Amino acid sequence: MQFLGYKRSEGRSGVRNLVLVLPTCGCASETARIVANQVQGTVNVIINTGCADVEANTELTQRILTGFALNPNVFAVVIIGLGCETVGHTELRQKIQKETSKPVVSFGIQEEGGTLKTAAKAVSAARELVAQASMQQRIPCDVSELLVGLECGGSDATSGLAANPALGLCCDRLIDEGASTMLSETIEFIGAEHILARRAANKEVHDQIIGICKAYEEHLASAGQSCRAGQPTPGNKEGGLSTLEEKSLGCIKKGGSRPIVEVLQEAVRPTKQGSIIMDTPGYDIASITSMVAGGCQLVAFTTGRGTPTGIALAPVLKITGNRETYRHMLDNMDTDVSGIIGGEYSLEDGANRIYDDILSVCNGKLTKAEAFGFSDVCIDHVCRFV
Amino acid sequence: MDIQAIKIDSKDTVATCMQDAHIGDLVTLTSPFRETLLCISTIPAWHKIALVDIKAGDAIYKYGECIGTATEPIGKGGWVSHLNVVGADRQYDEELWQEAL
Repeated sequence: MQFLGYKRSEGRSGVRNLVLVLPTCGCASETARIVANQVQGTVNVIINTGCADVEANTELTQRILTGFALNPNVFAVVIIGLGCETVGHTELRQKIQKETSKPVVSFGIQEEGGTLKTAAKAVSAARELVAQASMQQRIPCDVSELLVGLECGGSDATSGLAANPALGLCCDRLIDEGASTMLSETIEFIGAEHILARRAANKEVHDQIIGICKAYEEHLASAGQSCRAGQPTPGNKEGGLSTLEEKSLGCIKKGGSRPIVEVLQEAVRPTKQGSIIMDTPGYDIASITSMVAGGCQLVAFTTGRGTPTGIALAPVLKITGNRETYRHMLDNMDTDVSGIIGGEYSLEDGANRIYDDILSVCNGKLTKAEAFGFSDVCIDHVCRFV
Repeated sequence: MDIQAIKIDSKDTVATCMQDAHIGDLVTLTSPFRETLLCISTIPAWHKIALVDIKAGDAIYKYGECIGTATEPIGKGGWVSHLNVVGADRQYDEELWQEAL
């Protein structure tokens, strides 16, 4: 199987061809937005970190900013810095340039003398880069170049019965054809981590799966939050979920059944092909942010109640097994697999629908979230700001 | 009344009813399973129906995986819920590779 993508000089091909206006920190985010607003073909992200952080948070922010720049959907990067943040624009640019030959330019707001002077230079650079990007044509790329992020949010009873198991079957098909998938949201593995661990390709991966769940549970316990007490919730039980195993299985089934070959820290890029896990929170936006920084060109997002979220760097395909939600939130929903619940077609048929839509989106079809220009980003945090 | 229920994996011993089911209703499994069974309990929508006779202590399978064990006998066509299934109490250290095999 092939898709039409944009070849990059290194790594996977892109399914989009974007010029990214990337702030180094929260203080540069609004200037970056003003730059992106002036040039069609650019996207920007608003970030909330980059300053006044402990080292672990700084490391994660740097992995995410670098990962965004290296994402295959990005043709070139215009970095906007402030001047007194933890890692300035020159340093970030050099870090990115060590890993890629794609065009990267950078400007500092304090250096240039304010937002307008910075924008004048950055807009001009961005316009040049967009013109270069616009010359690149889509060409056939092998499906093995795809890395698809998996996410669920706003779940309801149909999520675990239709959208997630259908997405899981779709993942098996993608992996059998050579593509890679990324399952995340560690917190939602808890209770069924032993079942997930059985899919590990080897001992190391098995123990890493158990290890990230244990560490997550301990981390939240240190803030007084229990992961298991009261689970499944009374509402879950009333909704038909009997045990935490059953609840968590409903979530992890979206990852399919193929051997898990690698467990990654948050926002780290994979070194293997196949079924991959990234240790992220269950908070959709933070999890998607980290997976896209890890190189996912597309995110397949299952939902029951419906959610609008999108990230500017990658299409987020919304899949629902709830017919009412599909109709009621048509503005935000992309793929309808409610026929599984209605008994009109099988899980396998639902999986094929998702597969076809993933391929269309890779070939250029805009998702609902992309058409609106949504740009949700959230950088996960391990500690309070300094 | 004819009720639809979803069985996800061929190993499963339960299916999920799509509507409220009552004693005497016929429950039909969705494609590709297509089996029909008689409902012997009142089962709310989105709750599970036993596809086989289950003994106390039997593992309950959904998604092709064990989701817990039965605390009492549940007849084929009966209601499977948090009232008659419990999850396993597990420790992370016991789930590491050596113990898992």
